[in-house]
Amino acid sequence: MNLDCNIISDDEIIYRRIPASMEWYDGTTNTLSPEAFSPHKKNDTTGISITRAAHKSIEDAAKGMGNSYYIAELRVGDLRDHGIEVVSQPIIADGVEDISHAELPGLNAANYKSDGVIEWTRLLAEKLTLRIEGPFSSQG
Amino acid sequence: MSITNMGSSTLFCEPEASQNTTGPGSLSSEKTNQEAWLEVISEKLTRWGCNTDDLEKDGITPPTSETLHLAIEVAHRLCSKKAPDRVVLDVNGGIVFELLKKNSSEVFHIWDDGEVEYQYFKEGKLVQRHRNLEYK
Repeated sequence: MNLDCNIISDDEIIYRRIPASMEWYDGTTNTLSPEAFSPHKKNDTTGISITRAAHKSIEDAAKGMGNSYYIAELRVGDLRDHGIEVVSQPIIADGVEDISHAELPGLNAANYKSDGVIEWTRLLAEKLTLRIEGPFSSQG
Repeated sequence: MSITNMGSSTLFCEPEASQNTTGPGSLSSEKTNQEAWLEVISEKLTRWGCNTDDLEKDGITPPTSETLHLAIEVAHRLCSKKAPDRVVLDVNGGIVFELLKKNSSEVFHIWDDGEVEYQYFKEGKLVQRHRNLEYK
C-alpha cells in the first residue's frame, strides 16, 4: 500500500452519501438537514464515513444498499479550518482494499449528543457543503 | 422545564398567528398551527411507524413505537404553537422538529433514549440547550 494515499490534502474534495429516503435533503429548497452528518451510535465508533473524490467516482460513491442517494460535496480544508479533522481509513470491501474510504473522527458514536457534534453537523450541512448532486439510483 | 415553557422569544412559542380568522385580508385558506401539526403527525410520524425496511437498508435505526408515541405526544403539546418547517428522523431512531429562519433555528429533538430536548441556534452556534424537558 502506498502510504502517501493516507495523506489527505486540504484541497481534496470528499463526498458524504445521503439516503434519499430519509428526506434529509430537500431539493425544492436546496436545504440539507444536519442529521445527514450525525454519527450512528453503533456503526460510527471511529467516526462518520466519507469518500475521497480523488479515489472514487461520484456514481460509485453513491452506491449502497438502499434505492437512491444524494451526494454532498465538501472540501477538506474547509472542515479543518473549523477544527473538523479528516483522516484516511482504508477498508476491505469484497476482498479489495478501498482507499477512498475516510472518516471524520471527531463525529463519532461516543459523542453523538455533545454540543460540539451538534454544532458541527449543522455547520457541515448549512455552511460547508459545497453542492448536492443526485439523486443517484443505487443497485446496492 | 416544560416543552411549552421555553420563553417568549422563541419561534416555536410565538402566539398562534391569525391565519384562522375570517374577514378582509384573512388567510383563512392557510393551515392553522394545529392543522399543520396534525399533518406532521399523520403524514410523517404515523408513516414512519409503518415502513422500516428502507430505513434499515440505509443503515438507519428505525424509530421504536415508544419514540413515535413520544413524538406524537410532544406534537400534541406543541400544536397551539408554530408548526415545524422540517421534520426528520435522526440516524439512531430519534425524531427532530425544526423551525428555520434566516439566521436562527430552533429544534425539538426526541432522542432514541426517550430524552426530549430543545436547542436554539443563532448564526449556526448553539446558544441554548435545555435537556430532559417535561412533556406531559
